[in-house]
Amino acid sequence: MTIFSDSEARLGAVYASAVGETVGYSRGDTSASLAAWRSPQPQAFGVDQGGGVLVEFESWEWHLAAADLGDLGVPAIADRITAADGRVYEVVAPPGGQSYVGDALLRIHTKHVEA
Amino acid sequence: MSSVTAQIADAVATELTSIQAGEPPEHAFGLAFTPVRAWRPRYALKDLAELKVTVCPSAFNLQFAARARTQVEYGCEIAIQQKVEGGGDPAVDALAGLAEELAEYWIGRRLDSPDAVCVAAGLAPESVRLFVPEHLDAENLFTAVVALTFRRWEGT
Repeated sequence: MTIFSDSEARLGAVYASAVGETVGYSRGDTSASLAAWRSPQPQAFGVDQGGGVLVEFESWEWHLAAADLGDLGVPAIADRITAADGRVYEVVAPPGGQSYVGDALLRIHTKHVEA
Repeated sequence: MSSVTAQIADAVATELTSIQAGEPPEHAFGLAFTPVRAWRPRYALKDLAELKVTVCPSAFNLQFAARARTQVEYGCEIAIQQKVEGGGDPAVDALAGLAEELAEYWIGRRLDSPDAVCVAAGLAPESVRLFVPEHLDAENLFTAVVALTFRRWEGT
């Protein structure tokens, strides 16, 4: 771990304790309870692809410490984050991109999938 | 004057609703659903955990069949949408099966009002696959559009 990633992890821990919430992070039957925080505003998009079918969705960025994922390792597409308010977000990858960025502190791309 | 294309979509939705309610014409689809008639399927991703079936008017085409007789074709599309776990999810198989069932049910079937017969049923013309791959890849969302073509004749 470099001094930068160490600092990033410490900053993440401080930020999580200040503005974060306890969320459920799950993949299939495996789940973890951890501190995370989401972007203050969603990015809303409408997608019209194929047959004129319009699907509206909200994209949210979640931030959490990689170490908190434990045995889950790194985020994977279709992982789910259940926020403290009960809303469910699913990990997705933007077109041509990866579902997360970061090393010690992760920024994860999600979509709101359940109210 | 009301759109005949819309009337056909209404009739399709009404018949599917009757089937789901166990009323004639008796038929059983593999999945239960509540059809909705709309001009365009439009849902938020967070509301697609449950199966949505949307019946939409799509197009019409007039051709001379004889000197005083016109053949008219009306398009009607049935969109099937539901959030799934992923491409390998057995739910995808069931939803794809529903798309095929709907096409098989409607082909050759006649509507009373407006009087029209379904002469083609299958994938929407622009589709290259049974489902919309972009939706399955980006949102784990199954989307399929079944296109029906109803034909009727006008004139003497």
